[in-house]
Amino acid sequence: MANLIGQSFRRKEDYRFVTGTGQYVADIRMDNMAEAAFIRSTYAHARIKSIDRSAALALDDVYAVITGEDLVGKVGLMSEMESHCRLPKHIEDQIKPIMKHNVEPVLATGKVKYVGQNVVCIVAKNRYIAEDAAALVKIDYEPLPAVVDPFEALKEGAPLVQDDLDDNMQAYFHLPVGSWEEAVSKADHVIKGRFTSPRVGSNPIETRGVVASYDNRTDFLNIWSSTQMPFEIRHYVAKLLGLVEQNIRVVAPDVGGGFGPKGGLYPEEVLLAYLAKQLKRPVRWIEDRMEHMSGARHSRDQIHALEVAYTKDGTILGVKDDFVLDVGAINYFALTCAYNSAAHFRGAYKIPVFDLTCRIALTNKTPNVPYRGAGRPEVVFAMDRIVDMIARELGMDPVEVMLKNIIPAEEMPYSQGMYYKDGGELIYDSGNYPEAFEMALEMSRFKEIRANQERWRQEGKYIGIGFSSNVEGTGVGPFEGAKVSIDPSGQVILHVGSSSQGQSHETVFGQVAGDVFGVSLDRVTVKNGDTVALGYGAGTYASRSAVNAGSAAHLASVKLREKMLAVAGNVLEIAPEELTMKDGVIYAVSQPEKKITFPELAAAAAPGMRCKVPEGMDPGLEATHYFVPPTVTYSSSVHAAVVEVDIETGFVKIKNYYIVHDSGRVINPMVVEGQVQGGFAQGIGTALYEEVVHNENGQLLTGTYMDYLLPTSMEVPVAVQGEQEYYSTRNPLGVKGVGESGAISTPAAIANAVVDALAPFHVKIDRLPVSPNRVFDLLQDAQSEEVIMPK
Amino acid sequence: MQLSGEAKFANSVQHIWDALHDPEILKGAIPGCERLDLTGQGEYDVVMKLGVAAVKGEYTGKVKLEDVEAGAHYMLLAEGSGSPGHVKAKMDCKLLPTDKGCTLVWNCDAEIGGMIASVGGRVLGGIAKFMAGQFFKAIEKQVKNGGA
Repeated sequence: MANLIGQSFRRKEDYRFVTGTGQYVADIRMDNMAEAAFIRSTYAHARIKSIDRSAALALDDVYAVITGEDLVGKVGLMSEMESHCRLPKHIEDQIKPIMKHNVEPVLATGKVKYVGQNVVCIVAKNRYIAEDAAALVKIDYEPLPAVVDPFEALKEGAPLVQDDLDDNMQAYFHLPVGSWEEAVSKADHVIKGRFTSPRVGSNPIETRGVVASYDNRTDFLNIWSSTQMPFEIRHYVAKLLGLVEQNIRVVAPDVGGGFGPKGGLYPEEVLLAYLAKQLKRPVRWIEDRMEHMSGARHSRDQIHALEVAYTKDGTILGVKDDFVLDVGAINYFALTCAYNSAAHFRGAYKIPVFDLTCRIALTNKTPNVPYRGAGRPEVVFAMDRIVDMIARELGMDPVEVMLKNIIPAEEMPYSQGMYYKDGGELIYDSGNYPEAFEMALEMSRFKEIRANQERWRQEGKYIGIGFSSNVEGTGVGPFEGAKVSIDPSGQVILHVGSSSQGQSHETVFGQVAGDVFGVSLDRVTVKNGDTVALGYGAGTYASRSAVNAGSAAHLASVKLREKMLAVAGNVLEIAPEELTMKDGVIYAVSQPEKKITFPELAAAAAPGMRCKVPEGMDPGLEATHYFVPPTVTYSSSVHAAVVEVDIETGFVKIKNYYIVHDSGRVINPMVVEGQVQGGFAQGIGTALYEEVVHNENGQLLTGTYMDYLLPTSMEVPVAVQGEQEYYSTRNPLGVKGVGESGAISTPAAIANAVVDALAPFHVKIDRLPVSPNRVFDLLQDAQSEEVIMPK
Repeated sequence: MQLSGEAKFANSVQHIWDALHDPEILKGAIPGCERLDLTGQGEYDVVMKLGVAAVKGEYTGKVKLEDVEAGAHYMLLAEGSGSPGHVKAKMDCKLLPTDKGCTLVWNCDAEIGGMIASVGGRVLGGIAKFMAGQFFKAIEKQVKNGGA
């Protein structure tokens, strides 16, 4: 049955993308459309004393100048995304979380909480006029002390970020697995480390954007947004504006990258919907890059204080971690990243004891939300760095310590003794981690590199190799839907609830459905990113679409195929079991001349006197399925980085990079390879370049790409990929998620490779990014230590 | 942000001191100064139009001169804001006599916010020093022309 699945079809969507005929939010044009601009806070924390908008309102072609006070009682407050924040009861019993309700108005009222927060919205004939008007608005602020450092924020008496809370600790939990004291008592050594993954942004090539229009006759709102979650936007716009959900249509057209921060509700989506209705004209807002740097949400920002108990042969007995996540001015996603950090800490390692405490601190910074990896790269960096440190303390090769602690293949399925955040027991369903590691060793020519390193060093070349592994829970629920139908033309039409930001939905889900109906890819049209197509949808995030939407597409197609065979049996007067279908024709296996085409069948199934649908079935050729996964599937990968460090400049060059990954059954190998490579590119940014920096007053200092460094194609080599295909046991396709895989281990592998390259200097990297000045400082420190205390 | 610099003048300390306290001269010397209105002893309301790197805009604010030691040492306190952001600066100015006239040594501690910080931060130091240079040159020119 699988003719399409497993093949590297070229992406159907690429023709329009490469010919400039895609349609992004900014391409949407409507008659009479006005444009909005925002005035954003220039203070991290300040009271708004007054806003004088008279000069702006006096300007010609300015239609509205709106402040937060104008919206009180009319537009609700934004707060936690409920569907992402609920925890099952048994997890609450285990981790005893504190999670405090926190809010943000769509335009600041009373005080501003971070630089970049929306304060005033101006709607005018066009953006030029709106920006001119913005310059005429006078806002009088009274600066308040800003809390910028998360540890300072957690201290008693620190200025409050959210005035309604007692302190800045927005959330807390403690997860005990086994007894840490017992692990320590059995251990020969306990090592400590403190690992920092700084704040970064996701920087999609398309910034955010919203167009909203209101139809008076039908009392209907149309919203186009470059979002990852059209259904959630519809829900929250309805909720905050007091509207009927089905009177709102949210479309995510072509979207140029999301990576997490485009998931979730933004003030602009709510406000433009409100204004389109108030002003009775379409309103458009396209985020500019400067707004994006401070107004679009950031991510990571975790500091882990780690202790690891181990024996003298390198066996790890237990891990204790006390970590702080700096969530910025509001936490929209509760424990999503923090609990992900907990669930992915031990990854492919067999570590029986695990004791983790998490505190989430509110600070006067842009809100922190999930970004590709969502809590995983931070802990994989901490864990694989400390494993590397243990090896070097013991005088062993890091590879030896990693392999000693990796979960043996024969112990699969393996339980980590805790729950995943969806409530399922954290049991790895399938995979072979030692095999992946061996593949990575082989591919990277590890032995050859080890044999030559000393000689290269004598030639002045500092070349190192570093490894990192990860196991990733992918395909998280709660559900995803698919509706499949046969068009009168015979075309298979598939609607999926998860929308695309570049993930190839139109191709990949076409392959899934095409196989069920026995048709080629061009006979399946996949539609997504539109709330009118299906009753419910979740979205594309958390490496979940292939698993959830893929399984839903498959199961809806199977349902429809059965119905089609039943209808065809009725028409042809043959038992459905004797029929099959191929290339748009249903025929009897034993008498191929007895046949009916898809268009003929569609006509036969249409409602009416001549409807040939068997008794008890509804007319029409259409089926819907909502797939609810039992729990997540576990993808895994092993990364190997080979780097050369210039000890004069501190510059790190990636010479070669290898990724062995298991994403279960592969629907389209080219797409999977592209996902891994893309994740790797963003991992390089985290590893070597990116850091959002605020000064002590909470002012953003990295507001342009001159100061916030992103890797370009020049800095991103092609990662050589190796593939394992251990089918998941938790969905009918056997697939696992792959979207985040490439980003998770890259920082750890590169940091370990840099440490390895600089082995003679005994440097310890505990902070990202591994920038040239940081490497240079480490070398300076190492050399001065050498003088005082030669090793 | 900490900045410092000095300016050399071919005039006497008293000459320069007076010029630096004369609203008319200040108005002509402050870069981009549109308005400078005396509101009290040594206190002015100021409107400036400035372009800092990519950030252009109109700033309104207050300037206050506090004499520490008449004729030799004063503090300039400035506060302003506009659509691109805000600045709050405290500038310590000392006038020292020299063979050829006098030298003004200044130390400035500035807090900046908004786009000026996020976009202009990296180049701001250079621009501020450049503007200080312009300011003192303009003072000197006006003094030479008999403005004070």
